[in-house]
Amino acid sequence: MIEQQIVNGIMLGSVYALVAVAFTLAIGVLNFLNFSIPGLFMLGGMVTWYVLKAGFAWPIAALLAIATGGLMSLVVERFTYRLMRKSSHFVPLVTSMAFLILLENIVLVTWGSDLQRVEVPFATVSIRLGHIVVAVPQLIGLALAIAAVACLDVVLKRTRIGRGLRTIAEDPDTATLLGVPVGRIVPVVFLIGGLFTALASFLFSVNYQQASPFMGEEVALKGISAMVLGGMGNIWGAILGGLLIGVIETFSIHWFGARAVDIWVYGLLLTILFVRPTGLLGGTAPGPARM
Amino acid sequence: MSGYLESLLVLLSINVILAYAAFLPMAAGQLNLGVAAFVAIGAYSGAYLSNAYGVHPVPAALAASAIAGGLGWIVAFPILRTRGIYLALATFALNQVVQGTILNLNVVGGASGYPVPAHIGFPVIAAFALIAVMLVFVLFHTRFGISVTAASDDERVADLMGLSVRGLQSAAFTGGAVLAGLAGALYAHHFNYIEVQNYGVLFSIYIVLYVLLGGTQTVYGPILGAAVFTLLPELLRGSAAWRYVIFALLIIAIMSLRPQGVVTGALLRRLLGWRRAAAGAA
Repeated sequence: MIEQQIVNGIMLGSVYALVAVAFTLAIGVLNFLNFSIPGLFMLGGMVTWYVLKAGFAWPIAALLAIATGGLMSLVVERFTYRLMRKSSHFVPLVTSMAFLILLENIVLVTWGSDLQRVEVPFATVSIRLGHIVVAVPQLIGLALAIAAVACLDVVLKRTRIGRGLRTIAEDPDTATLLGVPVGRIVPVVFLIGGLFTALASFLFSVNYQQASPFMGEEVALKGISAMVLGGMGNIWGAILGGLLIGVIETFSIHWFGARAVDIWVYGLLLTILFVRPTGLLGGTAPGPARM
Repeated sequence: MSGYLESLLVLLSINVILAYAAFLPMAAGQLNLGVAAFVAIGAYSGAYLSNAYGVHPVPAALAASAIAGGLGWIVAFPILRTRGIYLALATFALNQVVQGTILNLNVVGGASGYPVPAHIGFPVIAAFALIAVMLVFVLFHTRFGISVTAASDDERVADLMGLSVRGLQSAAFTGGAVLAGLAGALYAHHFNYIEVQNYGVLFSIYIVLYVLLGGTQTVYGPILGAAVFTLLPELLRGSAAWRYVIFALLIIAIMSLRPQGVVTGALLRRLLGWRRAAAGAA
């Protein structure tokens, strides 16, 4: 029973991990808490639901959801980071919150406030390991999440863009002086963040067969806890934090009921912020003076 | 007065109090994403006092405001150890924890909401809003206002000038909690029903956004923000969701064009300067 809970938690955690990567990238490179990420997550889930309902095959739904997430994230970039350099530091944070409200309400106006059931076109195959049951789509989701982060790790360490990103993370002004095309590289952070978030929402809505205009607040905000737990700015920390948050959530549901989840997940966030703000793996946390 | 106009004015009064609840910590440089937590604490403790102990709603609201303030003062100690983005995250987490805790308190109805039979009418609420606004105005025309601004502009210099920076920050945070608790208790007793699901972090974000819409540099900005946010939907009269779409677009536009908010010190000086010049010409 306990083992089964851990497996369920890790599967749920892979969704949080992907969202946490999006959060951690924005904080680590741009020092920016991007509150539009839960909105992008919700958008991806609702697009998945709508495209599947319209009768298209699931790869098309996945593609459209992920493309929507990436494109919308680039729109957010135009109105947040572009303006950040010449104004107060909290302005991008505020604009990203406005995007969360905007996306949520546009979806509410278009599709209503109901919890939608996502019709998954493939049969849910599961494998048994002893007395533990693992759903194959969830296992594929977990593998995809880890593979995506491994790719990101290579991109950050080995490529020209990755070097540029790491330079900007150190100091945007110095990066500009050194000839790093900051204006062209920053959208990449948003693009990657949007793609990861949308991938997470596709996996979530297909595996848990639900989507709603409020899934961003209910699910994706936990990515913030995951990010801080792993260490802000550390992408492997985001994976570790995400999986741990997933396990914590399934255990708190198991022991204390579904209504107590937020107390444990966000209580942990509060505790870490007070006791060890650098998280488990020690993030390259940004300077405290900047918002 | 028609019921429609009255409930509109009640909402306006409560929103003005909420705006100052978010403005006080923001003036001290804290982005408080946990305002809704203190609104919920005020609403539930006020409602509990009048429901369980039969306390008259007005003293119950005052007590609720004091309870929210007391809890704010206590949590300010650990929370103010954090700065900037960490403070925003900590208050965000606090909001979720408080909401989750009330959701599990069956004595106040838990997830099914909490009816509040005792009633507070419009005149009392308007009087409270007026007093709250005047208090904040007076506060920001005294040494306290200047000190808070100084502490948020440059903590180190304020410290060197002999200001108790931590004390000022704690006072601003606590003051915000007092006002938030008051607004919550007034809301609970006017609309006679509260639901903890409404006091999520998104509600905190809305409050913070309408303060930023008005501008945080002067004490007049929050009133404008609260008024626009309350009255705009009435002008639109569309579905409830559309007004939030327009509100969000408005925020994005204003933050792009005028990131300091609509009302700033420079704007006020210019307007007043014009007025003086016009008087001189006449």
